[in-house]
Amino acid sequence: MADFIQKYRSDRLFRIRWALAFFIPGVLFSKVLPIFWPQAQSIWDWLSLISFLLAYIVAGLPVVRRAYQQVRQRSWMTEHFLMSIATFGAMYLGAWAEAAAVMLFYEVGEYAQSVALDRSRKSISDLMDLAPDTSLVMRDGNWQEVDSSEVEVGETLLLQAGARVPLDVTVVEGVGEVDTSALTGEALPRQVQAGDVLLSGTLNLQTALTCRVDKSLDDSTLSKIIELSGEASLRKGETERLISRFARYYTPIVVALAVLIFLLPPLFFGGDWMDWFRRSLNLLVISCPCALVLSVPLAYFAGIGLASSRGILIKGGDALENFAHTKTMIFDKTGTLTTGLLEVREIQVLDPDYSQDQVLSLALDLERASSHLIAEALRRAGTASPTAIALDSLTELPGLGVKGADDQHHYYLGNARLMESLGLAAPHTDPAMSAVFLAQEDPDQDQARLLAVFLLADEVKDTAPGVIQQLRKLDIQHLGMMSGDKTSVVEKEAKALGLDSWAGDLLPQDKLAKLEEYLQNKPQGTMVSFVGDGINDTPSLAIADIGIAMADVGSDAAVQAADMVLIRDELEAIPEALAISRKTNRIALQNIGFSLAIKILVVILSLFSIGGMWIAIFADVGVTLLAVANSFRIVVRKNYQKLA
Amino acid sequence: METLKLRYKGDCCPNCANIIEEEIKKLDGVGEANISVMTRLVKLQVEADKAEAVKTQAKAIFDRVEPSAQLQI
Repeated sequence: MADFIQKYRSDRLFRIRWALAFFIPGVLFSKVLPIFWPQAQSIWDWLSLISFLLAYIVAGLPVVRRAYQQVRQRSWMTEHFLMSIATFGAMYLGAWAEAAAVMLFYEVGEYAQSVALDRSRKSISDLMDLAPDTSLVMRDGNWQEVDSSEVEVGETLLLQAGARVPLDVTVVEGVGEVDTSALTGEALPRQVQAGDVLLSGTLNLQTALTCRVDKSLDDSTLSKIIELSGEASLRKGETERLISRFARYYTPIVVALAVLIFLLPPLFFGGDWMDWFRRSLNLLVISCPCALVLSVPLAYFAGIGLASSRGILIKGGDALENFAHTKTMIFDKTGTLTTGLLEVREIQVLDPDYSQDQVLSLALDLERASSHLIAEALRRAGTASPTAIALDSLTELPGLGVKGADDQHHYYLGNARLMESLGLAAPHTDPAMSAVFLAQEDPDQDQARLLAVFLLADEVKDTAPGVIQQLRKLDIQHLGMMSGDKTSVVEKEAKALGLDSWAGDLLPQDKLAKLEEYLQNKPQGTMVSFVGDGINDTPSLAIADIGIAMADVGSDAAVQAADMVLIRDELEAIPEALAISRKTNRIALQNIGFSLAIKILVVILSLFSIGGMWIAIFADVGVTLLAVANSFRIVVRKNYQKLA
Repeated sequence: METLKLRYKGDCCPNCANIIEEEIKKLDGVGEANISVMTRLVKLQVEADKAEAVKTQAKAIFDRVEPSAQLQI
């Protein structure tokens, strides 16, 4: 017996089943059996009354109890109290079936809502299951299984085949394959070797890997994603806030309407009390907008969850909602639309006494201490083994280049302005590429000559043209690019991609100013998105309507400033995110639309006493079920191309 | 202003969550209040010196409006 009570209290489905067990016989007694045995009508009446009463008690007792608790705390406008009033009134009028049905179907609606909520919450708890609680770390000479929360940065971790990465690590030894699909939705396995970073939650496929721990458990990517997912549900967009505000007025208005319907016609127009009482009870049945209110965050949560499974972290329902209204998208060039790596495209030797290898060696030597992009590009081009040049007195000349010397000459590597300062006229070069000149100066004779020019260019990502096309199809009206690079280079690349605007030679503060311009001039009701790779785009990410950072979750500044983080670090995630946000918005609006429409319909029908309480009951639970089912449409479809 | 992150156990209907949010916002020292029915999280912006008082008052509001949701403080 105690077991039964326990189940009754906690298991809604249990209550529904038992209520049905009494309700169905009630229907039989009241509608079916009298057809066959009309003589026993009074028996059928009693039996159906008892059945419906039992069904009512089973389904309705918890509701009435909560109504009582709430009324004691002086909360009147709650659905429990109003449902109780409606059903008491129905029973008073002798409508036992309706009273039982109200409670039964109310429970069904609540059950549907709890199923939806549980499913949604599961997506976050699934994330938490991705990282194992323990890690194998090297301590005191052997591998020990330690709680992941106690592993420190710098420790050596053994990642076995088939295991999930518990913390953010860098591979130290070993070559293997990993599967990042749980984090990024990327289905193809990735090859990894020493030096590669593995994020927590990644699945190690075949070979054991020795790794160094980069971040503690709390700072790990997975922990951050989980935290962000939780926080995201607290950030509410315009639509959600609007509906919440509306809902707060809805119940009092409907109740007031119910009271008016009950009182006015009988008092002033000679209507029948019982008749209008009955009509007003219908309104009480639909007086709770809970399903309507829940459907909005349900939709946005599903949208954010879907995006998250595709490696797109959206920080809030507001970001998701606003992103759908983006019509202007501005990209930072280097590292976002381009690979961020400069390549030496051409070396022109200008002095007959030198060979290509010699000028390259000189240039490499001058840049040997530099980590500048140009230095990196030269190093990649330099197959020449470092010669014994070993220049000294290496000096950096800001905005110009670098300088070095050997016992005979001074050497300069830099831009055209540097050459001019030496009295040299830099030759014209292809404006689409950056030119770096090498010059030699004879300090005694105060004479300089050009040795070579290196032509460098940044490569546009091969996915960029396709993504731009997709964005156009998704109705982005203005696509722009900003860069600190030369305007001529920027122009060439922008035109090749078919962009609407571009701006080069921008200092960081110029980029910010340009973005503010876009924000001020944007068409009414639209949004401006900015896409950057996070490192020095933080201010722009912060002021854009939607700041999109293409970076891994590790760079804190980007995560703080941005509204959306693309863990996948791929441009294709952008149109995908856009499709998800549009679909989510559509579904939320659909939910609101039909919820309101049906409620209004019920009010009208109740006024004219069409359909009785049954219409109200089915409308209410029907709307709930539809809203819940509709939000699942976001989760189920994984192929985003169908979403847009 | 301090950020308080709390959770609640049990169920809270979305309408009740709104009502609770509004009432918490009216408390002395509270800047922002946000409740997510999806994740059962409660995020409040309060003046540091009023934090403890707000927590107690918030729990009382929870108990009054939605007795089946228990705020963990």
